[in-house]
Amino acid sequence: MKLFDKLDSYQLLSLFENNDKLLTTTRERRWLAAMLKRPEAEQALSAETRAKLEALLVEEAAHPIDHEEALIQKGGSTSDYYYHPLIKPLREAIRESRTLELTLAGRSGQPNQQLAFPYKLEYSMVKHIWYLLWLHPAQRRVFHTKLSSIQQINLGEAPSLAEQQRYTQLIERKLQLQQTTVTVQIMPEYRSELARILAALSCFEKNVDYNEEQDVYTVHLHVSHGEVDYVLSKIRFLGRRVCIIAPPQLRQRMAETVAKALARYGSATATGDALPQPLPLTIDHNHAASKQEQQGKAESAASGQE
Amino acid sequence: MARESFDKEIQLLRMLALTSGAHTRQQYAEKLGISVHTLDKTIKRLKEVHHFAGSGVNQTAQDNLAEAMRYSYLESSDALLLFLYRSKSLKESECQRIGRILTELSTRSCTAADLLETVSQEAEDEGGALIDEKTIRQDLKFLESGGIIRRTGSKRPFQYEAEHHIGSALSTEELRDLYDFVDIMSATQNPSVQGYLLRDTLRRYLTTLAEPASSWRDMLSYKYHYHARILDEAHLPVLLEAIQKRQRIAFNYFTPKQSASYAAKQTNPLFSRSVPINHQQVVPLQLLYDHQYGRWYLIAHRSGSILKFRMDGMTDISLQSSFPDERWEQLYEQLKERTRYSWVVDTGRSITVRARFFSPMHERSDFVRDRVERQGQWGIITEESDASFLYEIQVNSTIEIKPWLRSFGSSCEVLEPAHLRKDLIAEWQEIGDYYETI
Repeated sequence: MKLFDKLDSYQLLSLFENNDKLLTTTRERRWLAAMLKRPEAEQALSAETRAKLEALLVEEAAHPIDHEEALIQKGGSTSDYYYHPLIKPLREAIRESRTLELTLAGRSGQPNQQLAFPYKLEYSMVKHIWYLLWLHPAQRRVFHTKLSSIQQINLGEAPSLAEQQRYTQLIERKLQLQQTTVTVQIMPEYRSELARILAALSCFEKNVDYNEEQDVYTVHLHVSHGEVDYVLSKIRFLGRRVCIIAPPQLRQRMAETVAKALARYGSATATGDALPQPLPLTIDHNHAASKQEQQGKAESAASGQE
Repeated sequence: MARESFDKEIQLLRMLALTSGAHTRQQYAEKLGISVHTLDKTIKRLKEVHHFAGSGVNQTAQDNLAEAMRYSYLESSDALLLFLYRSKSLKESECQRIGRILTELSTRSCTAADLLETVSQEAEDEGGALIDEKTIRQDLKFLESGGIIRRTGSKRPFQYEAEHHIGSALSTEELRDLYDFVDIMSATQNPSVQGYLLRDTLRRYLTTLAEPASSWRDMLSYKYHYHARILDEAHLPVLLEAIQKRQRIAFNYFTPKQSASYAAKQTNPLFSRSVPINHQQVVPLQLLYDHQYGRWYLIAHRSGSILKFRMDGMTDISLQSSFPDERWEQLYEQLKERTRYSWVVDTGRSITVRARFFSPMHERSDFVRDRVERQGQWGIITEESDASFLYEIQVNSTIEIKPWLRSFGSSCEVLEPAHLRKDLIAEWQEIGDYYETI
């Protein structure tokens, strides 16, 4: 079985650009048949839809694609389940650009209601949590709220087209503002592990600089403030292979981590003893938010989490 | 038919994906060991495919493939490198003919003779060459083997029809649900290429059917997955075939670079070209995906040893002679035994690691514990208090588990074995040196 198949060719695809028939290949259908056996299918698709698909995919279902033990996976999270029942109604609301009345579980247990313009659903592959990104039009703030803390949604009106556009632009601008860049240098001693180091960092949006004279690679990771903790855990994962160059706040956090880790081992060294004085934290607010995010704490706050 | 190899494209795309624009065209060409002309030709072809097969996001960034790849991370959940799988090329005449056959079979079922008549007529009307029956029969055989058409009825002459039943059986609403489902599953499951292709097909169909392509927006996104993993998937079908048929395989392997010598500067930064490409012949046993780096491995056997190869270093894979089934089963059982305690692929000596994890203070949820439970594989939590817990695991050497333990920072203290504890102290001290001055 070839993977590079003429059937998948972009040339053929271009002939069918406006075809009103959905043509699928055996391999696509076998993949689908295998996925229909996953527990997510039960919630993502209605019983009726599943029955129709199963009836069409009898032959395909007889040819498993996972080849049982020939393919295995390691080093991941045991994540059980990737679907959330609110995905469907929220996706519909986003598609139709409707506003929503969200009932959120408040910290004190008191439910609380918010008017929201939904933008996008985002899945964290690290925390295995679905989030809704939405705009609070009155406060002009963008929130990430765990779907699990949404108790109820009521569909509202769709704002005027001009308003929708304004909202979307505002959201995109706000999200852009939440972006930060972490600059990481690959230590020259570990150049032999370059492929592996770059692979570990390849999950982030990034660009790479290469200094030919010094033969040094520098990676600029572009992430949102809320994801900085995840970047730090990757940097700790890579250990001596990489060093954060900027921003100074993250260098400081690495220094603190080292001092605390060494203190655990009871071997406070010069580094450990001389804890650097805190710098003025210009990204203090976001920094705090990201800490909360990491700790899985803030999302259910009354107003969601910015 | 000449075998079209995509090894060059895969290597180039991987390099672009991993080094995201660190080098100039000349440097990339040198590093891949090809001429700038070949590089340009390859990039041009990939751009054509990308332009068409891409989602339409970023058409302005097309000038620079690396840039286009970078910006696509932001807003789209598209599999960036999927377009590689659309790059198989067809002869213009073949493409036209197959297009006509599929269009015809999408509207009605017909026999090879019916098709010959319509397709030849159309070709003739457009001044094309005559088409003979043999060609049509070959096309039908090819399309049937890919499952995009099927034969109906059991009496000759056979009728054929296009496989469009999913689209006709489901309502638009159901197709939208199916799209979301396929979207989620292809982003979270391995292997995923077929899922991404299906997602792409569904999206095109939905935009034709119900919503204009211009207003299509991806509403689901995923953070973070390893985009380059689907390049490794290029090797899965042939390797799976070899495993299923119990055949040996031969391939060329790029070993990771041993030293950062000056001479190595002129080479592919990801692989050493100074080390002669090494030709391997092995019995493949298992394929393994490592979530920590987003990479696939081949685990194989050769003269008494278990060998591990990163799929990104493999090129020119070919099937070889078959291997006795019984012996294969035996080797496979041995492999299972040997890798039972491999954190990833390590088959070193098994050892017990004990570590104390510290729960975050003043927090409502214990994210440390949560992560250990999710990612700690077969390790167990043996003792616990409010402030900390003990985690114990038997692993084949400590090399592969060490980065994971270290990623917890000061929330993890390794207790045993002593050498691992000592290593980690030394590493933290060295890392501390990096940050002595802020």
